[in-house]
Amino acid sequence: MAVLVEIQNLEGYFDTIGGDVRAINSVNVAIEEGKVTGLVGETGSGKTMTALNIPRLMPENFRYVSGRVLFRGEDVLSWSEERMQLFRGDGVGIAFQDPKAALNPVFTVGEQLGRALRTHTDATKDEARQAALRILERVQITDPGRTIRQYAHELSGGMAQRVMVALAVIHPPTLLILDEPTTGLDVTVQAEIISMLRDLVESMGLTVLLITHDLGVVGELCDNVAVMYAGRTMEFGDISQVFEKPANPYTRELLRSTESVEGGVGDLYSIPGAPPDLRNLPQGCFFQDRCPSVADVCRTVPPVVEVEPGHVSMCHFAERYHSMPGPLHITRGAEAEGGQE
Amino acid sequence: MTSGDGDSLLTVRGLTKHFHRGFWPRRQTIVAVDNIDLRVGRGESVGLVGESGSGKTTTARSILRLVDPTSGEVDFDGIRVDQTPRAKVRRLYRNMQMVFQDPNSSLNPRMTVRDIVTEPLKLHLNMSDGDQEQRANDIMTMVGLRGFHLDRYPGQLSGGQRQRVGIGRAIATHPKLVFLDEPTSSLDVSVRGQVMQLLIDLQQEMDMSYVLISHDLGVVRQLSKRVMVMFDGRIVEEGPTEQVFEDPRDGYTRRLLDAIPSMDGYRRRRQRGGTR
Ligand SMILES: Nc1ncnc2c1ncn2[C@@H]1O[C@H](COP(=O)(O)OP(=O)(O)OP(=O)(O)O)[C@@H](O)[C@H]1O
Ligand SMILES: Nc1ncnc2c1ncn2[C@@H]1O[C@H](COP(=O)(O)OP(=O)(O)O)[C@@H](O)[C@H]1O
Ligand code: SF4
Ligand SMILES: [Mg+2]
Ligand SMILES: [Mg+2]
Repeated sequence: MAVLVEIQNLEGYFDTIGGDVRAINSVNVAIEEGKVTGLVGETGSGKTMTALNIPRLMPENFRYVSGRVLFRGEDVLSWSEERMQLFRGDGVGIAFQDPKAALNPVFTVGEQLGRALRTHTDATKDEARQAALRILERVQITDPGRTIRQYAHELSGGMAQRVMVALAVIHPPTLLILDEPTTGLDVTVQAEIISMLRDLVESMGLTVLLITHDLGVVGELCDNVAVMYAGRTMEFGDISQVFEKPANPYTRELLRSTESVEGGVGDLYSIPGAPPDLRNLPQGCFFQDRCPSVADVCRTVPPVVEVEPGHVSMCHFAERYHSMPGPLHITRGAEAEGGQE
Repeated sequence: MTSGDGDSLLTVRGLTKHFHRGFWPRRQTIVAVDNIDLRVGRGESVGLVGESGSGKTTTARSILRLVDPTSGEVDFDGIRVDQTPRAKVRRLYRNMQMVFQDPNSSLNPRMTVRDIVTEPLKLHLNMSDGDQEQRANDIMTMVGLRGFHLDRYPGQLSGGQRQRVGIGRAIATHPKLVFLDEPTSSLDVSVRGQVMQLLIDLQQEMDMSYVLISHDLGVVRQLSKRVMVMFDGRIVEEGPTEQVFEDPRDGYTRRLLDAIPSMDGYRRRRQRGGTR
């Protein structure tokens, strides 16, 4: 399988008056062509900032320390601004977090879709209109003819999210980045968006980087997943490797919290404590204050260990964790509900 | 735990709230809450679930008189809340409180945590400065924060810590009833359990009653033995939480249950062979 994007040992920080905010510390992710790769982690763990490195849209106070961002083997960090401009148009499409704020308030949905298409192609006004109607249908907007004339403030959260996705794919990009596409939406609307995205990705054969803080969403949509904590990718692998044989304590704890909050399995569980302050990170492993297996060695930076082909974990005890049974009760519910959907 | 008849803390009958939009002749009426009955026993936690816009928050706001209900009776601990003169409504908040949906917008960013949690003490209780400071410290301990957090501003706290401050403010006067509006929905799962456990512990320690508003049925399952399902301003199903979850009678409840993104989605996909 061809790798489209590979982020290697990326490290950088934000230069602020209050000191350095070390948001990206050690990021390693591979995005395979035609697959959905998930980037999961808590608020502030650096998911959005990791993704924005690919089109090089980082805030201006970001400073690189090291690392490479390879697109089909070439380091985009070394490209000229002109080349980058072209790449941003055709190479990467982004559906931003909080679509209501990201949509342009003064243009109708139809005008925005038309402009998005006409910057890439020489479609006529009428062709653009037809394309806009078709793409709104594909993102499952019930009445495209009506929506095309509406403004952002007239859309519900679910509709705004669909329009945001439509804007990103009307001219299909080589890589589609979806930032928290279900966050803040009602559960029933979340389910609709997930199924819409699944259909869209399959029918258009898109390569997607999907950012979310919800492991449930990862489980529904992703082929591969990177788990982030305080600007480090703690674990990366294909979804069954990571969900069923997690090789990192943080992933394990996250899976356990998710299961327990959903109810039904054991007691209420959460990870004690809170993520570290990015201005004042501890020596060694960033998870040490909350980790059940912390040992003296954890005061040194853990190695990135490949526990099986394509499955890596950043932990001193990666091998040991990998050989333990995973925390997910894989057959629970599936037996009863396996036939449905 | 369930509300015996003689032991109701809150009894609501025929509660209705209309909002109006636009002007004659195109004036529209939105029926946000439509003739609902609700009872909460002493020490009980009742769940109120439903999708966005179904009227959950408006129900709570109407009971608390944060908006005036269009009609209906609200009896709280022997007081007819709906007939309480506007000027005296504030006094009710000593015993009836609310934790708001979004801690980011419901906490004043220019007040310190100390000012936030002592404000209700100043309004409702005649406490000396020393006693207030003591109570503020007790509250910090109860909600799992530390004394030094009293000097922080909301912007200097994490989301989970801010939600704890919101809870601390609500329980400061030791109220009998607390409405919890989506108390965990803005939190990451890694800390959601901590806040839920805190709510369970506080309820037991202080013998409070809860009305827990949520569209996350997992949260309700953990905190409430009885649940009401709301749709389009009305209660469409009510019963013991386990029963409603295991065997929902209403089609809408079923839909709501199926919609929760959960690890079951992964399990189903795995069974179908959708993962490599
Ligand atoms: N001040 C207002 N003016 C007009 N309509 C309102 C007002 N407040 C609420 N509504 C409407 O009343 C209905 C119920 O709203 P409410 O906020 O109670 O829903 P909810 O169930 O709490 O939803 P959510 O899960 O999104 O918080 C909605 O249709 C809403 O748009
Ligand atoms: N321009 C900036 N200056 C300073 N810090 C920033 C800036 N942009 C983002 N950050 C910080 O970087 C961290 C990672 O942010 P982000 O990638 O947006 O997280 P998330 O995982 O929630 O998407 C956060 O702590 C955020 O506050
Ligand atoms: S390196 Fe140590 S502290 Fe970090 S996750 Fe592994 S065991 Fe835990
Ligand atoms: Mg983000
Ligand atoms: Mg609400």
